[in-house]
Amino acid sequence: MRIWRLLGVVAVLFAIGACCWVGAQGPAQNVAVINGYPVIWTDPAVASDWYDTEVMYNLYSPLVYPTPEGSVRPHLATSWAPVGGDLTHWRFELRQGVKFHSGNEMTAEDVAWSMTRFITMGRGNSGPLGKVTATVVDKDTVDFVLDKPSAIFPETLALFFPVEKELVLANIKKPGSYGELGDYGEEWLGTHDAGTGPYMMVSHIPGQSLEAVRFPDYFEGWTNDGWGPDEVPIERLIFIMETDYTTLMTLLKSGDLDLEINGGWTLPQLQQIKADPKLRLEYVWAQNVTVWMNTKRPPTDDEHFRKAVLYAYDYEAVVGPWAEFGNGETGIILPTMAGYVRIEPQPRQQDLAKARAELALSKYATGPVPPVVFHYCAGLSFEEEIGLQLQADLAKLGLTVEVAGPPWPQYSAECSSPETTPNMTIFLFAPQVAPPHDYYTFNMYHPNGLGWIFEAHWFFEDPEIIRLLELTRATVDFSERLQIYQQLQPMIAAHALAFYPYQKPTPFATQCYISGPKEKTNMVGPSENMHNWRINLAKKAGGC
Amino acid sequence: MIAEHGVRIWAALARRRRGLAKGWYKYSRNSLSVLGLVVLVLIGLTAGLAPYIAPYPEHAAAYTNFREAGLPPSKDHLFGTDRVGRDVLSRVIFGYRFSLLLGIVVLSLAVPSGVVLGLLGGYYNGTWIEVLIMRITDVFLAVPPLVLAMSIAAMLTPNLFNAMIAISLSWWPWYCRLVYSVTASLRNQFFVREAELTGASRMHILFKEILPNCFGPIMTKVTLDMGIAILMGASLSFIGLGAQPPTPDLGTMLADGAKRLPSEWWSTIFPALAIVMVILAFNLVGDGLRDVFAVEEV
Amino acid sequence: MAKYIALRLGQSIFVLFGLSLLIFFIARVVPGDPARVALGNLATEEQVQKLRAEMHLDRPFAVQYYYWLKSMLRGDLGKSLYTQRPVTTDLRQYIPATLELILFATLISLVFGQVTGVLAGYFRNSWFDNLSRLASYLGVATPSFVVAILLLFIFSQLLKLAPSVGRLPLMVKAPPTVTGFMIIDSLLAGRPDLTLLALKHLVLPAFSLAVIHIAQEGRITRSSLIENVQKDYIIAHEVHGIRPTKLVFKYLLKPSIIPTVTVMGLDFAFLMSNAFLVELVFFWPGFARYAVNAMLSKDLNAIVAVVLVIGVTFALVNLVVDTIITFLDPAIRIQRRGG
Repeated sequence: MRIWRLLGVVAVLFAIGACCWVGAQGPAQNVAVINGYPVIWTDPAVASDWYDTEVMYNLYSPLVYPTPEGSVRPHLATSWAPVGGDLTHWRFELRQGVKFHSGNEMTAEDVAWSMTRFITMGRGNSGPLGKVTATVVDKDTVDFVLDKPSAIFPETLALFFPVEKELVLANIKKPGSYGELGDYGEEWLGTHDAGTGPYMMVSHIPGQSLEAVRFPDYFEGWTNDGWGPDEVPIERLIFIMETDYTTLMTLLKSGDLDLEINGGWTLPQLQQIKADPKLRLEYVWAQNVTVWMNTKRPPTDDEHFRKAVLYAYDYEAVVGPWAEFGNGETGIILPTMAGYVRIEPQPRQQDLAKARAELALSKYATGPVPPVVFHYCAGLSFEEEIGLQLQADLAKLGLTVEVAGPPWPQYSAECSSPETTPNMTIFLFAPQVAPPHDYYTFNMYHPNGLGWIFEAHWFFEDPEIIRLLELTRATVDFSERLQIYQQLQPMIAAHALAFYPYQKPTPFATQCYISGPKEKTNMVGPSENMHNWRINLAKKAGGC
Repeated sequence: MIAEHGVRIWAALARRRRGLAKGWYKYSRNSLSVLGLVVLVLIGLTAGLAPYIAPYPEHAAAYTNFREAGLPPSKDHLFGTDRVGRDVLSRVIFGYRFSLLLGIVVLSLAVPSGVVLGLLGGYYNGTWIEVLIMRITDVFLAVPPLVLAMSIAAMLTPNLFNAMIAISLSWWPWYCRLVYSVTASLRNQFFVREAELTGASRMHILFKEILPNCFGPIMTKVTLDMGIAILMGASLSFIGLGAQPPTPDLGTMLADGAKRLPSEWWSTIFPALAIVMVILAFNLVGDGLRDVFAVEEV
Repeated sequence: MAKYIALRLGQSIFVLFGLSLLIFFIARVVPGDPARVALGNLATEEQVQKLRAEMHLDRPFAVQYYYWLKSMLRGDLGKSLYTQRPVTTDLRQYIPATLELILFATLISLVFGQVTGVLAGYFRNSWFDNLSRLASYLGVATPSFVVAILLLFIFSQLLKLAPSVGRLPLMVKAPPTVTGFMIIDSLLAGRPDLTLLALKHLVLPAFSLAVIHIAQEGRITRSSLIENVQKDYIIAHEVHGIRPTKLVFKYLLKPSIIPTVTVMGLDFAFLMSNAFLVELVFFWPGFARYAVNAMLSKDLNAIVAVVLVIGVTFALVNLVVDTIITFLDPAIRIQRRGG
């Protein structure tokens, strides 16, 4: 009988719970629940993936800020110039009165120390910078000396986020990989921040959730210029990291989710969002779907064979129904970027006659052709779809395509050498490395580029391309540089190193009471900076 | 002499036929087992004749038609179409081929190796051979088979064949242990001792004297395990460690379709039912066999 | 008894040692560079080499195993490459979620299994008995992830009766972690409303896991009931006019406890491995989902830890089950003492 009494108590507890639950509705809160990809790293020296950068722009401020056309403008630094003529020595004047979240003012010492930390740790986005030596000139001036000349150095600093030196020093954990400096504060920065950004981290469970509140003393201020009268800054951000889009759809519909910035929706879901008057789709930056063709492995080692693939692929087939959501033409760089040049094949449609003609010119015109191995990253169905489409298209030419989706560690390890790279590897390149033009050109086609998955075509034989790529990094003037980029695009495309199925704009799905982003940039990060967004509480409470 | 021999063969055949008839009588008393057998035969026929039965056999191979993607069931596509426009019914029919293939390959790898090791372990009971074999078996049995198969599959390149290897590797210990226990109990039986005393070879004793006694339990387990092996294969594919596109694999279809629930339910629900049906059929047949052999053993 | 337990423990430790060697080997031969994966896409080759050296990945297998064993004995399972935290921290966070799920599933299967078993046994060969037989066949034949998808589809997506994913609604702040069991933690935090929410989230995944076991336990209870109903002492009780309910609960259910406990022990392994798939379907932030991620992302330390934890749990559960059975069944108790 005792058990019945216990059950009774539990029942009463539940009854109370149920009452509380029903009565838990309150007025509209000034909170934005944002869904992003699982963020693991929040240390700015370690964070590297584009979804890390999205969070980074909220907690920290970069030294310079990306502009929509692909250059940068003053931010933590107010001005900069090369010292001497060889582009290895740059001087930056810092903004005065910038406050860290702790309330302390940022100095040149913090910036120089952060750069040293960034370079010493050598992780995250520090790779493209090379070896940089930072020295403090005075309280508001810092000098950077590079190991090789670079005209684009200031632009690469759009991913350099200074941290507060003393705060990090106070929280290093010993022993670590950096001797005296222990772990350089890496562990602490995973759950705390030491930045100057518009939001301050409250909590972070890696891969699960991150919470941040507005930093009232943010140096750019919180004026309402350019916003409507009811549109106020968002006070609290809750980043959730959910990857099940059926759930996200439910949450979006019920108003529990305010903003989704990954854009992993299926087609029917996107159509549903588009049709819902309470919801809004916003296209900010696009990703370039790229299928590398390994030029060192038969049969894609033959230029004519690769061109045959270019013509055989049915560009329209996969994109078709997605066209209304912005998927479409792309090239070496994204069509939304300044200086975009259309490349072959034009028009972008399947031309089996031309494909056969190219195939006949190749060394695989007669005799057996080895199968084309196409790998994609496990779980990414849009990549698989492109592989399946190619499989069906090349079958019309009598060619076999083997499609497989190994998990990421295996997939990425395959791309470490030309011998192990499959014939075709597909990647989705988001504009995540600053500056974006350099990322899509030098870093992807120059022997000293990022290598690995970024250059899985393994083609570096054209001296003219290499010369021009190097010229871009020696040209300080942005518009002059754009001209070189324009010259380069058809030259690179002529070798048919890759085909570019489509660009994939990332649809940000949001509630009608959330407005933004005020400025759209061809870079990951600035658009997800929630300083760039506002909330309308009246609309949130009353419906749109 | 010859006549005597002939009589013996005749008697043996008659005995076997009587045994079969008796077995079938016992089996057929359970109407569910008969139903399972019928379903299984139908599935086998469907799989075998897939190219002739499937309405769109080309949809099981490299084929895409995004203009017809995600269509609901209709008279053209009884089970609807999937996200790249392939006929779900055709892919389910071909999917059975791969499911059955997986089950057969897994068991033909796992059963012989498990049985041989189990026989050795049981026969050399109390020696270092037994200790070695059975301790290794214990290690493999220390985690659930699915977990072990997943760990192994994750290290190999994901494809159907490697999934089969992974499942076999986690499956043999069960047969090893089954045969071990039977062998160990028979080890000191009269007929084994007698064979040893008459100088029969080890091979003869293991495979001619002891093994036939394990036949019943092995057969029953094999039939039941066909279902479980298919289930494990589907589970691995579901995680993405199994068959690769465009192979029409039921587990992969399920994983793919689940992302598109609830709107395109047909690309999930039909493959799901197909999996349930084949496993159910094997279980029912296995139950029937258990009845047959259980009585035989007594 | 103590000797028996000690012997079993010794055996388990030996087996777990072998298991760690096996899994360590498997994890090490996986193609793919864990250091590269850990450092992210833009790390320089230099940094990758440095981390490889730190993780001893450049040393022979035996040396790696030695280092691992050494730190494992100190209770350090290494750092997860994926979450960048000590594996033990991760495990502490994720294991309770899975345990909560599995225990709840066990509870469900026990209650529903006994009830259907008793009813099916009591109303033998009635439509209910046949229905439960059919259900048991279906239950055994349906992979738990299929059940999960079907339940998700019907109850969450079509009928909208239950939430679909996670342990709590995404927007609700979880109570402070004390035990890691959401139901208990929310009660401790004085938030019975959260308990209710957590229960709502628990129901579908737990049922997906439990379905197979409800079916099996139902059948076991039924056959045990039927077997015992013909025994003399039951007939004698019946003749004496004892109420049927008392008869069932007091005398008939008792003998079915032993097979039920045995099956529950076996079930635990199944629940554990089925949780791998069910957690994926329901996005349950548990141990099994963590394990799948570790396997897919070649998170060396996490893989080894995950498999070992399963091995340890498995061994412990078997030991506990065997001990309970020994206590319950005098025949086995005497046999063990004698042997």
